[in-house]
Amino acid sequence: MEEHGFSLRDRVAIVTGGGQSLGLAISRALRRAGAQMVIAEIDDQTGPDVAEELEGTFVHTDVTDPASVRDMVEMVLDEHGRIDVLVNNAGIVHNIPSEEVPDEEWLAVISVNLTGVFWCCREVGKAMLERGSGSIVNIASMSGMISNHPQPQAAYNASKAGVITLTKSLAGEWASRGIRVNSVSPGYIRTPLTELGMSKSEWSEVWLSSTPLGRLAEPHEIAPAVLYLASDAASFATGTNLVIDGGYTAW
Amino acid sequence: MAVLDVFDLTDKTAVVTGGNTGLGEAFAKALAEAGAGVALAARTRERSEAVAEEIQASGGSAIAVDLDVTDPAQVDGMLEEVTERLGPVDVLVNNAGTCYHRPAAEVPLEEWREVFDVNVHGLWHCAQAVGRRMIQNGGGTIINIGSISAMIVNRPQWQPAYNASKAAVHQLTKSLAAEWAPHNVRVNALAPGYVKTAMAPVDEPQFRRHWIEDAPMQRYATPEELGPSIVYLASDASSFMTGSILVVDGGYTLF
Repeated sequence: MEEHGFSLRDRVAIVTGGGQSLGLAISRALRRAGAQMVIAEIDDQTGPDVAEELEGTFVHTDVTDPASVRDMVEMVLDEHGRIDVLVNNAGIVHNIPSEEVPDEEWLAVISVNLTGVFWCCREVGKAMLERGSGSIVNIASMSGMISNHPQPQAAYNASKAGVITLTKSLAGEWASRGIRVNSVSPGYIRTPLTELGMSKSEWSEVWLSSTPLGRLAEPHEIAPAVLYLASDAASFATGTNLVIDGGYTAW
Repeated sequence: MAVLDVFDLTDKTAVVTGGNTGLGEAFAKALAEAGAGVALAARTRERSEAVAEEIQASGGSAIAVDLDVTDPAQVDGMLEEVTERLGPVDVLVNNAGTCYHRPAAEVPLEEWREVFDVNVHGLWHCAQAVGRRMIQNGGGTIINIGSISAMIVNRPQWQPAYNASKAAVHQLTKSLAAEWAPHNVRVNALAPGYVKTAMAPVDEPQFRRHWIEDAPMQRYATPEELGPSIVYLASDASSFMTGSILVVDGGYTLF
């Protein structure tokens, strides 16, 4: 059973945006499962501290810049010789009515949430293909399946739908070459991305009354789903979108 | 299995219908390995007892309980017996199922009815009886074994009743999840792809082209390989997950 277990002992795992909120919870869970952690973060304030806490490495990374991603991968391979797990967690959101969205806002959301995921998958994928093994987990969102309300977030929703299908595409291409690629689609989680909404009763009341469990998730409730998909426990799962939303999309 | 605290099922009681063979047996063993006391609720008592002994020999806790899911009285009896012998039920795995390969135009009525009787009505009897009790007890987890057949149509074999019955299982999963969320009862479905069991002759050459080659991973799964997925769904590891269909199919449905 051990080879189908949840352990990540001796495996090297990269988490983008791993220095804060959801990424931090994920990094901690993977570390507890025994992984050697690499925190790939744009934030130089939080990244190094988290890397130290987890006895891992911090690499300053801007996922929107393919050169930055390539440098990060090279640095990880130099230090560890391998990459076993990649969690594409870095993401941003803005809540602007679509008719008012400035060009750069749209582009920024797509750039981090979708293109950044692709750059990381491509560069890490190359290393994984060479070894013939690896597991990639992309943090998508229920927003990739339904349109949230009452707040506007068209760019975010579209980017997450893109992540779900990008996940399946890469999974399809790489399944027979030893790499699994899956996505996690959470509902509302208590993080900085939902802080604004929770402070507005006209948003939070809709969010909570639309969620059968009637509450937000804590980041540590999402992390085990990532661990499950990253590990051998999910050895037959690829191209799958794990929805963990408190029942939101059931209604 | 290396299990973090949140995946641990120590002191939990689990029921697996059809737990004495195939996928059910693998689920029962995985739950036992994660610490749960497991009731193998199935027909063919000798088989159930043999599996229970195997689990006990590995240091786990398991009992055999007679159950034909199509008989509501037996479902009630099973619930009482398990509660008495192991404790209140925390986890229910609705795994018992049956399948026939036959073109739709040739399916006799009895066969159509039998598939729904086991796969849907039997699952319903168990979910309702155990779910009621879980609500009284303050919570629980139900895992319905669905299938990729609820989402796509398998080939080359025709199995209209099975496919429709599994679609019913998926939608019932969401319905129960939505209703019972306020009662701390989570309900999710596992949708496996092709797994090597008596129900699926995955090694037969006539099935290779569609069962194996159509799957991105180019292979089928063993029952043991799906065990950890049940542990994830049964435990607090999935505490915010309800009403979801977890597809584990080697990529079959992504194409």
